[in-house]
Amino acid sequence: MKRVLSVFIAMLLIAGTIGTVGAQAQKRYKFVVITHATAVPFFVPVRKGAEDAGKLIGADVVYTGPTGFDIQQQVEFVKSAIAQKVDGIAMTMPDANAFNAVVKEAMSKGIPVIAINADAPESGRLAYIGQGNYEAGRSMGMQIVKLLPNGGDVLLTTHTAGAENLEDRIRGIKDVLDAQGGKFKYRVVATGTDMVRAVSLISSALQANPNIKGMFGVEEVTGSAIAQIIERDRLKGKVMAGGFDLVTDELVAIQKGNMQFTIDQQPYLQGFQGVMELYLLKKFNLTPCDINTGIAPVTAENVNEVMKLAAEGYR
Amino acid sequence: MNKSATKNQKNKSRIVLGRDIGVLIAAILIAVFFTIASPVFLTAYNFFNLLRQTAQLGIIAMAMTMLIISGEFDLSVGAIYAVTGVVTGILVKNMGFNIWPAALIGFLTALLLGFVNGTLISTTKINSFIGTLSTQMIFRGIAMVLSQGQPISFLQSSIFFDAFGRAELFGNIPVQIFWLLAWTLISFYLLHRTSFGVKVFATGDNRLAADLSGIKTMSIKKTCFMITSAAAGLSSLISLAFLKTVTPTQGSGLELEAIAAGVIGGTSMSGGVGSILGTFIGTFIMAEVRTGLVLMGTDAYVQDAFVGLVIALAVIINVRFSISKDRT
Repeated sequence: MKRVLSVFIAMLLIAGTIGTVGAQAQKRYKFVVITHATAVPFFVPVRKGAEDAGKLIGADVVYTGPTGFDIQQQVEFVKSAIAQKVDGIAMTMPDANAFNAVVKEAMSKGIPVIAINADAPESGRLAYIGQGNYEAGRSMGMQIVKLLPNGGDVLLTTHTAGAENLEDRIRGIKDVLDAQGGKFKYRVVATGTDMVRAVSLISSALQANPNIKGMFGVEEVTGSAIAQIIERDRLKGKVMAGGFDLVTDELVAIQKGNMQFTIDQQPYLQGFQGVMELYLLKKFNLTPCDINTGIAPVTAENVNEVMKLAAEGYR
Repeated sequence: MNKSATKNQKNKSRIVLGRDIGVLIAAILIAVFFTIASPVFLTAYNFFNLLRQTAQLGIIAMAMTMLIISGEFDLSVGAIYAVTGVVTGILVKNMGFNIWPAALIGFLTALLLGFVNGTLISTTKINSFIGTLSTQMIFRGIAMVLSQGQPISFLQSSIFFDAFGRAELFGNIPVQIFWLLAWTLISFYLLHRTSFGVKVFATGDNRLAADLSGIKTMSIKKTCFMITSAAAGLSSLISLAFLKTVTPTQGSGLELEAIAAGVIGGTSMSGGVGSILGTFIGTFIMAEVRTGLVLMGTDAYVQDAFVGLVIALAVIINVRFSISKDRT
């Protein structure tokens, strides 16, 4: 099976090369992947996944978007992709309605659009590839329940109060904790994106309530800050800790036992499958379908393997 | 009380110290309020926590105060803060440098960027709001490109990290606080006790008059830009040592907080008025309010609004002071 697959991939690669050399002998597709904040480390595997898919199928894949979170600018990037008459767009949709018009415009011009990472079902996109933030929050909630079977006071931390994706995660966590029959008391602390301040404010919140049994960050900034606090104040094992996404600080903390888990949403798959579905639609008219890229908790058991893959840009 | 004193231009740098009493009282009142509201507020742990927060922003805010007094702004400090960290990180991680020379080069890069700002503003005479807004984007871009948007973590251990951000002296005093105090003393001396300081005030108060009296106002401004970038560089190294991580997005928004801290401390946005101690206390107030609100268990959604309220109140008070100054 493996052999068949590698032969198949090799053939695809050769086909791709011939495609380029044999100038227009076969149409080379051009797909654009647009994220809402290209400079965020989270999207590095998304880009790699998309580009790897492009290499496999012999298509041009362009990864682009605003460097910092900016919906208006992201719309402009989509419009420019439409103007270039690309063969398909895979994009994040971090707002429920902001992309409705531009997605319709693309679709009406025959350019298929697929949502990755963040979804807007009403935009008219063909499919969504990613993880539900609410489900991811629930997954974190279940990890918390597992770590603290007797319940207790916990801190939930977020770098931006009011950000839709983070609020969904928090809602997911709360729903799980609330379902434990009042065993859990939680408090949400918002810190801003500066990590020095995050460390300081979360320490204060911890000081304010000595009964806190666990601290959990719903993104990587406060997640890393929690890892710092556990190490500095020697709280390993006394206060449970968890975070989101894969960044070195969190992974090292898991290795050292300072942190118990982090939730990964396998962004590589979002880029890879996004391009693949566009290709299969163009090439064989296969209808795109939703893919759940999963919720993969990283714990002490698998952290070493994940770190190796993260360094290579796959996780 | 300032009316007669302000008439005497020469003593200007001295009399602003009197004005710091107002900010100091505000800081104490806020502390009293939070101490009553939360028993944890007045503990050594929390106090050091506050000062650690103050160190990162305060070092930059005090330098920014000098620059604002001279009549200019620097909106690129947050980006310089990022570039310093990223350059240091890249040198260590990708090029195998020892952390010490890497940090030195990072710091020199900050100085260079300050020199670019100063030269740009003094030669083209464009408004520094626009000038440094554009360099902010350029510098931030440099940090993004160099790091490829990735955070850089330092896994090795070195005395560098202890010296700049991790050591706790006498058992529990974070080393950052010593950097903060050292920087405060140097800045205070420079601005309030040297002829350079007098020239800074003169430049911002009335540039034409200063020019006529033989002060090279452009080179004063240039020096202030470089002091500001040096502060951003130092603060960045302190944060790098403390967190053992740098991100290309770090420090965004820092420029406005630094300006706000200065204004709370009585710095006038129109130049010519301000003090190092005022800014120190202004920064401390911002940290106090943020931390106090968390300690009280305030809802996450209203925290920013409260901080904004404090800034607004401070500015209103500052404007009232400025009006009485203009009347004389």
